[in-house]
Amino acid sequence: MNFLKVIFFVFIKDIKDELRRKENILSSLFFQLLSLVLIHFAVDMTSIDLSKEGAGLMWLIIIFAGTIFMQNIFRKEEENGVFLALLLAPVDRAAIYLAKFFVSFIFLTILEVFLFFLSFFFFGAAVFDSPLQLLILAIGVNVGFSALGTLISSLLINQKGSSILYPLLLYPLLFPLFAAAAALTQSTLKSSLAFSDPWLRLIILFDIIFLAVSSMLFESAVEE
Amino acid sequence: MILKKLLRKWATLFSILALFTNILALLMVFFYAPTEVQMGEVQKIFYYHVPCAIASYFMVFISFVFSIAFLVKKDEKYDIWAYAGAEVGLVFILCVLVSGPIWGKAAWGKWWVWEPRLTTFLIIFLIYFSYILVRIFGKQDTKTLKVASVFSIIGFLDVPLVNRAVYWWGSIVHPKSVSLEPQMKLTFFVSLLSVIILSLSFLFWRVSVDERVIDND
Amino acid sequence: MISHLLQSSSKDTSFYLFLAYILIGVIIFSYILSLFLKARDKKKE
Repeated sequence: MNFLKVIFFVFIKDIKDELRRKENILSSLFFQLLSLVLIHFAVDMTSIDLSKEGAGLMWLIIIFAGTIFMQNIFRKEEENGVFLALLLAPVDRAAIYLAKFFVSFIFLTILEVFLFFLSFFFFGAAVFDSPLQLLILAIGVNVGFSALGTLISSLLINQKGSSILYPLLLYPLLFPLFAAAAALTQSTLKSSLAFSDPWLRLIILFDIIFLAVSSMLFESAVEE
Repeated sequence: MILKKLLRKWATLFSILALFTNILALLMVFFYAPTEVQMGEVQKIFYYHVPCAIASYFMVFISFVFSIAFLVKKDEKYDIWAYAGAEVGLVFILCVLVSGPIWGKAAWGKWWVWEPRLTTFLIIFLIYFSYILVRIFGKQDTKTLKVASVFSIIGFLDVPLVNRAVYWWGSIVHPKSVSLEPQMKLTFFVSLLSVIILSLSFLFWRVSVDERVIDND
Repeated sequence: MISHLLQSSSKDTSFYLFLAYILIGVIIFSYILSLFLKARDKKKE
């Protein structure tokens, strides 16, 4: 089967599965709402200022919610042994990885849009001042986030203590990406997103390196 | 598998070398190197702080190279080296993280300042600590070896990005490398050499005591 | 050249210097100890 066809096929199947099972996406969406309420009571915040610490706070919630989602992205294959069948099929493994990557990517974007909307609703965050730039930034972050998130998730299939190890492995690696995201969110509200910004270049570099390396490493990571 | 006898020979050789060079380096640090005028005595931390940082980069690089070799060749002997490199690297990262704040306390009056280079090392410490956690969780099955080697590769590639991010984030300026007097330079190179030799002797010992290295004598 | 470097510093920081070297020593020697213990365990098996 053709490389792109495989990606498309697995991608559609997975999106349908996620939407039918709902548990993954619903729990991460619910988690975001929960964290916003907790933040209000923990630091007595009534408004989120995205040009200051608020930006970091947003991304922190996204890291946690994204973790909840991506940690389980291979769960159903793990449960019913489909993953082995998928690997036995005569298709390029990188295609399977990329399909899973796109699924994570799509759902992370949904999570972020939802979170931005919630933070606008509850805390009056200025997300609609420059919505397009914020969305571009979110997409940039999601590429790197889901590239690594999907890879680590696939590494930990059938691994002892995987639910504990998942965040412990992922977060140190994501550090540069989220430092860049927080910094850029703050500056986006003051000025527009410029390609010459070193933070933006860092995000793009991170995306390219880890998407390429992950799709290469996936094959050796999953073979039995 | 790895020839244990040869390995032990190298390990012993490097340990003896490390012992002598380190004694020499310490003597030079405390009695030969002049005291720096601005920072005073505490500047002498530099002679082990910086070599430890270089040695830890060297060790995690070894782990990176052997992890790739393991994934390509699928031979477990490469994994033994990769594990050893990361573990020894972590020991030296710890040395950097311990001596850095002490220097900071003497220079700035605070134990921890979020200073770029030190913060980079904190994040590298987190990365390689989780590497060791994977090993502890998974014991010795082949799956764990794969997880660890993939993680080692990604972790190593992440280091330059972490470094850049920390630099742009932090506004505090690291003490600019002071212009070193010839005596200081000599002391620095001796201690750098001694720490590198020490790290290599650790590496060889660590490989030779790995459970997977079979006794063949 | 050297003379200006040998002036006494404004504050005495030798305590921190010794603290740093002692702590590095502790880390290095505990790692050596752990390697010895590992080697001994292996011999027992």
